Amino acid sequence: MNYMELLGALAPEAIVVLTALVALAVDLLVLRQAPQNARQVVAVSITAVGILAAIIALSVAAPSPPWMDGLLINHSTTAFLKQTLLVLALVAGILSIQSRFTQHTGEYVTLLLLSTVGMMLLVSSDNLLLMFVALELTSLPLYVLTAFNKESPSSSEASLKYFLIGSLSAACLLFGISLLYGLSGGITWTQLATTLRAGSEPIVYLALILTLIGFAFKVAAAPFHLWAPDVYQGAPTPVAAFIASGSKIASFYMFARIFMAALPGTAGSAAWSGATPGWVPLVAALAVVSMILGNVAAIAQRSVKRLLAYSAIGHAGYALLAILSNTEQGMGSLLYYVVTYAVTAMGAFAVVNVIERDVQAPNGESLTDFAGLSRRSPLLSLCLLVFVLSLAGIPPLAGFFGKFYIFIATAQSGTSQGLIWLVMLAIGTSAISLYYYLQILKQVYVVESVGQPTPVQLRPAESACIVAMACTVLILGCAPNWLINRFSPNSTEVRRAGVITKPSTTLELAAEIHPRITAPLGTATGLVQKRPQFETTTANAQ
Amino acid sequence: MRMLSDIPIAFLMIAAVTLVSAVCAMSLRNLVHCGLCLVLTFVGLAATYLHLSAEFVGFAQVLVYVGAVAILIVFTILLTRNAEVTLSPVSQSSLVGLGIAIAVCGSLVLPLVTSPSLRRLPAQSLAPDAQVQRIGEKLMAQYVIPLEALALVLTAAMIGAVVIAMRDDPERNDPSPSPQNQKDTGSVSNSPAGTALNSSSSTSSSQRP
Repeated sequence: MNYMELLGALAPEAIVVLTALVALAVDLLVLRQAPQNARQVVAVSITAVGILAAIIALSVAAPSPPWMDGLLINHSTTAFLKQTLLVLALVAGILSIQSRFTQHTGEYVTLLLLSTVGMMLLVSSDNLLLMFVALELTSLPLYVLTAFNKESPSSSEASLKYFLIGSLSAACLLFGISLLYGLSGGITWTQLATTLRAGSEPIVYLALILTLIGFAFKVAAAPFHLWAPDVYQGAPTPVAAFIASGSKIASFYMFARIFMAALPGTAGSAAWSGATPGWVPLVAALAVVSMILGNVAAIAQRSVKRLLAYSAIGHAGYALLAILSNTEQGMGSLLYYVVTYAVTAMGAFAVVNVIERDVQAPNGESLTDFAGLSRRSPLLSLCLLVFVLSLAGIPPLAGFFGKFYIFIATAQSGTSQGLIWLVMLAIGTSAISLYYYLQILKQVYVVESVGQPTPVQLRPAESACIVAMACTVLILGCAPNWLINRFSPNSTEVRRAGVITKPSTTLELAAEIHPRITAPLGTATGLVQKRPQFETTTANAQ
Repeated sequence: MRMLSDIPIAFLMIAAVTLVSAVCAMSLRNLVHCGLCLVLTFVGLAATYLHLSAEFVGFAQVLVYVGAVAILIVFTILLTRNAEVTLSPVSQSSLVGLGIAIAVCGSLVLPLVTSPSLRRLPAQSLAPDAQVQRIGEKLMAQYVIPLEALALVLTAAMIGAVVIAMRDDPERNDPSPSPQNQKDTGSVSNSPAGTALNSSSSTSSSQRP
């Protein structure tokens, strides 16, 4: 036990915590009398410096061995995810400059950064104990941030709903975790994976269901989604953007890891014929309900934030497909999907933030406020076009490849392509989703604005963020290998933790569909070389 | 099948007290009575921990929850003006709620009762080796990261509680009204779009008594 080594391993998190405290202290002690704008700019500048320092610390840190029972794991994938989370937090901070939902700038930045620290710990934990604490550290500041707009009753209502439902889900998760601990006698992934097997014990399934419910609440998968539309609509827009992006990445990563790495013995199968009990059919049920309900309910929405909430539920359904594929390709495709989705959702919310400030309606924006946006701000509407089409999954944008990888991973997992029915359903709901995404674009590009079109006021930092995110979505769509290859080195580590991987012919399928991306994908991930190893793993597991 | 007689009578009594007081805490009409019932629930939980030989957790439960949190709850109820208002918690959907509660409880209890692994447990309770010194050593060495993370959770909770409870009225909190004026001029000069909101908010605040 060496505290200095621990501090070295935790340096990025420590930097972020220090930044949060410094921002709070400067705001409360020095800038008490300063104008609101100056306080916001100073607080976000401090945040930017701290976040940049943490990102640099993450990029220079050498991958360290798991620390104390998997309480802290650091490798290239976690480092990349943490950097993404930090960038998203910074964007959420920048979006809040000059917005007038709160006067507590220092507290806003502090809570935002504390939530980010929770997400960072969540990403790098292999242990039920730290997982739960990190999940609470992620959620608690988000509950408070949702209530930050004290002039709006819907903000308070959303926060209370979020808090109550979040507490309930935490209770479910804790119950499930305690059962897992009681059944296996351990709290690390390896201990869980070696002891827990699906069998005649109903209590194993009870533990699985409770854990699953807890995570389904966190990722807003139907039917545990009821908080999401109210929170997305009621929360201040930068906060909603952070809930939709950062917390999604961290929660989905942990969701996938706990089920893939810690509970492989209880997977079961969701094949159309011959389903066996386990967590995979449960996740499949969640995915089916989420995809259908999210995409159908989004059609009826008139507020863009609410529409994005239902679209997020639908996207959660697609991401669940990647989890239930239960392979390392599924993991890679999930990470590509949630990262690109997070950037896209953050961008879409950033545009909504601008429009909301522009219209200043008491009840927030509505779909008709986007009418004629293309004449009022061509740049903003072009970026919105990129974000919305990416959410809809139109090539060559990042959202298309996200869905593409997930569908391939799902179709190839399972014996004799038994999961193909889920992929068909997902493709069908994607087609439905196109309708409401195009509704937004119709308002922007076709419908005339009421009265004389006035230019939209854009601040430089904000527009730089929006353009940067739109470019990211475009680049990740044109060169998806760069990102998907980043998630492959982790595969050996995941497999060692006990994921049952199945032999796969993804490459052949991908070659048929898209020859250009296949060659680098194959060489980089080394899937071909690894295949014999997969077979032995599967044979051992059976 | 494990029978009721296998379960120690002390546990049954503690469980009964805990459950009944918990039900009372959420169903009584007077908030002060609810708070006091909640104290009894905390005491019951502490007794359960002690019965399971988790002495440190039991005493911590008594010190923290029964001692501090309960007093805080009662104080909060008495200090807020609505203490005399009796709420009517019985809603029309109480029957539906009862049905759901029974269904959930049944689906939780049934797997617990029917699982074979629970019958393999030893009859005598395992006394966990949980001396305070060992707990402290574990917390400061092996589990120092979750401990630190919990400290952050408490920090966030404290900041959040202050922010939510604080009255958002700068004229009332600030010693001089000048910062408010600076804020107004600053924001107006920077964003023409902010003028409407600002003027409306200032008029509404001036109308406030």
